[in-house]
Amino acid sequence: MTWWSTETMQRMADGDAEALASVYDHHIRTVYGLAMRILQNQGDAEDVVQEVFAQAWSQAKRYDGTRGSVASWLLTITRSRTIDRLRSRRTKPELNPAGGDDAVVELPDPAGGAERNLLTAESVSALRTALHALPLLQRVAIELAYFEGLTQAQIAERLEQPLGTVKTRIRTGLLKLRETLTA
Amino acid sequence: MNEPQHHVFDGLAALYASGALSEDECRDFEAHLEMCVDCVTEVKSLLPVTQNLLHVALPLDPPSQLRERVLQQVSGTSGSGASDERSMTGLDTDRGPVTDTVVDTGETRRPGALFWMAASLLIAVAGLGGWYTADLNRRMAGLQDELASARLQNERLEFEAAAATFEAMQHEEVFDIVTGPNVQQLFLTGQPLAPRATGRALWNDEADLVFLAGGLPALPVGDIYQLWFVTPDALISAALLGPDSDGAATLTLAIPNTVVMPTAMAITIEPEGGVPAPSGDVYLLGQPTN
Repeated sequence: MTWWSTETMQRMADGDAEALASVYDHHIRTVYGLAMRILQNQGDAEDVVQEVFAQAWSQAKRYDGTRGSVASWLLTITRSRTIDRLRSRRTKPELNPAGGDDAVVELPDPAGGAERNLLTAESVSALRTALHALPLLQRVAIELAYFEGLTQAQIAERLEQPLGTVKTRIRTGLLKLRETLTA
Repeated sequence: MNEPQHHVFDGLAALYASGALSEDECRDFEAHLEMCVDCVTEVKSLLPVTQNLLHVALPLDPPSQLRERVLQQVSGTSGSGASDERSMTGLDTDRGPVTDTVVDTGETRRPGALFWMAASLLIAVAGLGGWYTADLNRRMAGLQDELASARLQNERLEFEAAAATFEAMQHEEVFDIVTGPNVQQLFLTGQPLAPRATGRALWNDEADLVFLAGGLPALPVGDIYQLWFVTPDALISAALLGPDSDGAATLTLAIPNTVVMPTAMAITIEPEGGVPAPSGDVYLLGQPTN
């Protein structure tokens, strides 16, 4: 994506431990922040961080800067690993697939060029504000799906809401967030 | 609505984009996506939201010992040169199984992977290259509705053309400056608050300047980086920089008439919107060499 990240990721792919340290130093706060937000447990978050950077180290060669930033790549791994951990806590193996699929990092970051246009400090800040401004049940439904990997049925059960209501809350909430990004 | 059973999937695009469909639901919906332009459009429009949600969590400082733990464990597995088959055994001993997740076995992707495959199909911005094309072709082969197929194809081409034009315009501007006659440059180095940051300014005789920065720390909410010309008489604001999530930024600007290059340049961190005179810490600094 950038000359800095591309060069650093290439060095990491070549086995340069200093490059790994550089990537760690640059992204650890966002990776750890996401892990803590989802797991709410320092020990688990630290374990996930270790898994994330181990996986990044192992798969650095596959990173393609044209398909998304290093940050998004690492955060995608982080989300997958944290949801895996939540699933193991719940010991329910049949959960929704979009959250913690191991193969996701093999694939191009779907944001790609769009991310370069949309992902700014301002847009993230606006999205964060908009998320918290959503009606509580809309926000919770989105977070349970996206950050905890629950299916609509599981969310309905958790929130004691009809399935159709959950579907509506998630859709309405996402559409509001979309307005924030396109405003 | 491109198929008779669309109502069955009505409203599922948001659940799909947010990962709230079960495996079976996901598979069925992806099959439906191949035939429904309306659902494709809705999923596509929601992907930037879900992608950006990854970045919503507030950054946190981890325990200081975590760095050593992570780097020690990983570097212990580095061996001689990295490869996709790099051993992960050093990580597996006490920190949970990861070997089953890091090696590409070439197995069929589970529906979660299909989520991202579909996402790539739908977003279609900035040219996702051969993988994208192959995936698109694979999906197209199964389409029964030729009209929907044609519309998807046209949509993809339009997005790719728009993305290519956008990138070309950016690159052309930078290219013109850095390859023009009598280009000079100034390097900026990271200061103690950003030791890994680097910067480089290139300008031509026509007072066009390209500024490239990398390794800038993530900005706290409400702050922005501000680039300055440090002239003997005054500090003159050049531009505001909102680096991307990798800490990189590229911009072009016209050198003000009051600035005679080469002159020192600096980047400070300032409140959003910028300030008339620097008030924050210096992150990058460069001075001309005589």
